[in-house]
Amino acid sequence: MSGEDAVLVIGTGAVPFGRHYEMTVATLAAPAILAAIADAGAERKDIEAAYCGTALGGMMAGQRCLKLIGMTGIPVVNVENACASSATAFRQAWAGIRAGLHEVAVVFGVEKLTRLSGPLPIEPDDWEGAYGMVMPALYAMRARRYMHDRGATAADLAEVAVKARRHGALNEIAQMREPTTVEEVLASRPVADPLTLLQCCPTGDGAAALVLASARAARRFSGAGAARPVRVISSTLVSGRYMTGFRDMTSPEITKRAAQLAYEAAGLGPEDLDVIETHDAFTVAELIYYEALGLAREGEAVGLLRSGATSLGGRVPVNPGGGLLARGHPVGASGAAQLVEITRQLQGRAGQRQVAGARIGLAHVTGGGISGLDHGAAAIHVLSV
Amino acid sequence: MAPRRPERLSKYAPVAGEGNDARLVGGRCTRCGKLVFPAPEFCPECAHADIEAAELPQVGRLYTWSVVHAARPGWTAPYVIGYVDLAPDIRVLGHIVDVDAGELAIDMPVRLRGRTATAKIGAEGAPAFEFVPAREHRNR
Repeated sequence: MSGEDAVLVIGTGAVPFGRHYEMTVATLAAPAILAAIADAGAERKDIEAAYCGTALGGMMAGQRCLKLIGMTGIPVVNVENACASSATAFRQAWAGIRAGLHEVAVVFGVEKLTRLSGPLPIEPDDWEGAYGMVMPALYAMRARRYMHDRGATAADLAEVAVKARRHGALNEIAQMREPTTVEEVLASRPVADPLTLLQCCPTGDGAAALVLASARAARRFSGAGAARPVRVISSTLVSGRYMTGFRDMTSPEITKRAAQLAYEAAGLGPEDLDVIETHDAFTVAELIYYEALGLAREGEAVGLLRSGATSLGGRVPVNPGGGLLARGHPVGASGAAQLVEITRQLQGRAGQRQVAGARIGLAHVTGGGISGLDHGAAAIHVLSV
Repeated sequence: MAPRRPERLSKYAPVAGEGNDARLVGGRCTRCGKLVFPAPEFCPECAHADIEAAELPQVGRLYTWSVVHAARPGWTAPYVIGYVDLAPDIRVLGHIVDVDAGELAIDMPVRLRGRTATAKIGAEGAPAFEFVPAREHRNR
């Protein structure tokens, strides 16, 4: 999509991710929303609609956030798709612009995970949730099988966390900004064997926001100082397919299917990508997604990681913002945070973690633990300048 | 206040029999034959609502497992859960007991057992079954 049909990201904003006990869902989101609007060179009155993604933020989270900053009266859509909530909200804003419902919309993701205790819950009416499944265990079981099937080691998995923390150290909004080592990762306490604490995304709070506009409307905000617009070249959302029996946990059908659709819609392939944000909620996930996104052939993910190709300075940096492991994973905010990172990379505004010459970026997020599905949702967005 | 009745997650009682004679009870669609565990209210293949009870094999293969240390509130950690493939269409999440985690292996055969009264794992209302290694125990 190009020209007058294009949907553009014209502004981004985010607050530092971390444990913000004293803040509310609304006080987390408001600064991110205001920052995105200012970044676009727009004003609050220019925003015609709002899409809020949150998994656990409660009823009417969007209205609660917008009320705080005097943005009431416009259509507000609250979107829940677990970890894919704000990526799904982004897609709805994109679709709304394409459909002509509005020309300028704000998307934001927000989560206050420090309200919870223990790992992210699975719904009590889910069979496996009722029988002791927790998200870290789901990924741990993937990790066990992945290590068996691919010959990967615990140290290989730990290298993902080391890379994430190396990148996160360069990201001013990251929750985990101290570099770490393979030894430290493996010596951290077990959460769900074989995954240790530093192989799991931290519990934290955060918010991120983007302003989307039609190409026509974007010209109104293209004055001096406005950020360079970034084009949304494809938006893909799929849900997981229910399989009652055997499922290859090392090769998630949901992400493979989403990636294929995303590449077809964008008219490009994995070899064309300059920068990627992927859903590394746990170390093993990043390796699995190298294969599912087509960056590596089956069995070659560890080699790709160890080659440095997916590190900053490599051929196709993955999770330059630190990923969910280091930036943090306030569930509903993560999709938006990934898109903020990709947008800023493509604008050449990523500071010390800038991927030189990045022109095409991809953001991939999955959401939800449901018995019999890889995940409930997967969203992939491809952006370019 | 009267206690709230738990939501029904399986059309039929998920376990028949006790101890080593226990069998899991799934559901089979009377129209297309699809076999599902736990027994569903609707067939996920054809959405037919006439689902009959069907007992499942007692022995399957352990596809993967994890020792869970970070449990939800109300659960006693650590515990071992794993996916057991009981039939081509049937993968069951179960607790793996009576074995050191170090003795577990990918694809090892495991056998269903009705849950013993002493087992502390599981939340209230959780189904009364677990898996143990299918072969006789080695010396500990």
